[in-house]
Amino acid sequence: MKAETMTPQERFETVLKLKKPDRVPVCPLGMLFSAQYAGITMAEYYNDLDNTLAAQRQVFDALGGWDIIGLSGPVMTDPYPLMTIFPNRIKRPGIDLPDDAIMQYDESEPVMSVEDYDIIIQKGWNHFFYDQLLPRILPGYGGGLWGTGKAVLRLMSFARDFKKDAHYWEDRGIPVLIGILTAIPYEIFSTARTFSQFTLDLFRHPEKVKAAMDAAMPDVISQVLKGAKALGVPRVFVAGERGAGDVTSPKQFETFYLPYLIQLVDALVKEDMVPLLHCDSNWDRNLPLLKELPQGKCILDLDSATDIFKAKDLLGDHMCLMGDVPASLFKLGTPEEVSDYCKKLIDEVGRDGGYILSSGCTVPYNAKYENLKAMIETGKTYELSKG
Amino acid sequence: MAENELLNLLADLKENETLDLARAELAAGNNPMDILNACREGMILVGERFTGGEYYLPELIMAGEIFKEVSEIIQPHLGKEGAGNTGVVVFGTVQGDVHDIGKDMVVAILQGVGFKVHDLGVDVPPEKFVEKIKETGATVLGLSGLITTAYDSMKETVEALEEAGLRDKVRIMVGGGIMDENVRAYTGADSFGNDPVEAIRLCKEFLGG
Repeated sequence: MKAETMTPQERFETVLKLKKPDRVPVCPLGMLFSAQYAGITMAEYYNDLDNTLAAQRQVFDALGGWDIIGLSGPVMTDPYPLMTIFPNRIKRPGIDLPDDAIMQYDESEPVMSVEDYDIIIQKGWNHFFYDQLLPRILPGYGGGLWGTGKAVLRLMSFARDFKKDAHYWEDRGIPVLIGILTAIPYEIFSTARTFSQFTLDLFRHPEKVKAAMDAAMPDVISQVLKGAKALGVPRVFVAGERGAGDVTSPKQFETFYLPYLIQLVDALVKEDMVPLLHCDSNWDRNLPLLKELPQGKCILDLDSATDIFKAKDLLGDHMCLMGDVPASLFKLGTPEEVSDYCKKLIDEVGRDGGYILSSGCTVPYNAKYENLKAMIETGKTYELSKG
Repeated sequence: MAENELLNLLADLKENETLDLARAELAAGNNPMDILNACREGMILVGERFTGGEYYLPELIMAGEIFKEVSEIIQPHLGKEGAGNTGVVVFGTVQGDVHDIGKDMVVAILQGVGFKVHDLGVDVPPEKFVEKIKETGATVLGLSGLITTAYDSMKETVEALEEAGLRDKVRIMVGGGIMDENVRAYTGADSFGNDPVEAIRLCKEFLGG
């Protein structure tokens, strides 16, 4: 087998430039699976940061490590940063759900009304979020100076936790995939209004919704730039849960989604940040439109519902691709099946570089350990062992 | 009665105009069932436009909403025969999963095209599904889920139906963001789907319509 000639950091930088490294960089996304390896419940994993970090480090070492830490430290367990992009009620294991459940959104009721679009239009997103929306989701936080201050302090404490963990990995030579999370108003409003109500809003009040999106953008952009600087990682998670072609119409996507995504990406790129477009669900129809984003500046992270091979053909020379070993394969497949699929990804999507081998969305918390091992080992050895 | 006009207004997603005309037809003494049936025809046209690539999921949701509003206007005026449902379906998000977006969309659209749907909500344990199927005599069961926890819960639900001796009487479809043939085979369901129109198609196939 050939020897590695690059560090994880060099490998990462190479694929971001759409070039081919010594071998594909490997990045299992999310670290929830580490709880089962550490033998702790999801409640123990989520609700105690020491447990979270210990489990993540334990499984990383047990698997012999990989190249990029994806959604590490408190990113997926601390509900506060998540709430800034998906503002609705969060149900947590050991608190609102059984100890062995994962954190989930309860989007059964809107936490924002049609009238709230007017408040956003008049006073901007930050005012509405901290003064009105946050108290509806988290009683005790937000509302007035005192509540807003409390929420901001809470986010600062997340930033401290995150940085400490990121330094741990960086000291080991392992880059951290992203720091701050962000989303365009379409995603945020849809979560707060609920998907169905927001879809109806787009038919019933299109001008009002668009005006609120325009009013929210300056705050969204200034928040993400400040956050990214505070966290010290120049890569930003851009949530794309609801822009998929199978849940939007082309007209809605082109009117309410794409212009704002371009605006956000441009603002990040201007500050030398790399947007990680985390696109869940099936984006096939919208893939050609992503060519409007700047060339060689983004990572497109797909969850297995989008055809990543088609994405390679359409966008391979335009952005770094990442994904997409399916959740069902991690949970129900065999190590051979996982390994075969990874080889196909490496051969086809990674053929000329610009590709990060990763899970489709996060590795499920109940993934089979041997399947995760198969993905990591295949990524680390397949190309080097070829003649 | 202006069946065609009503049908087309709904299919064109003209919410206020559809509701106004439905109210006017009712006030003019027309048969409430005919009004509802015209709207059902409109929903079928919406489904065809979706299949034909003219409409997308948002249009289905909007059409489902208008249909629901018409039904609310019409229901109180229907006699004993009720809404004349085309089949009975039990639906829910399985145990351990609280996601409801996909489920709600499918339920709204199935109701729109005339199925009687018993929506059990989210985080539904297997025995609740069994109970409801016994109670209603439903012959179709829709199980929804977004996270991988759902695989096991779906499997357990199918097994619970087997234990209750109901498996042969019920056709089971699984759906949600994480479905594929592997998952269908693992759960023991009859079919899987990834969009609401597929759910309509499966229900019709299951019910022989």
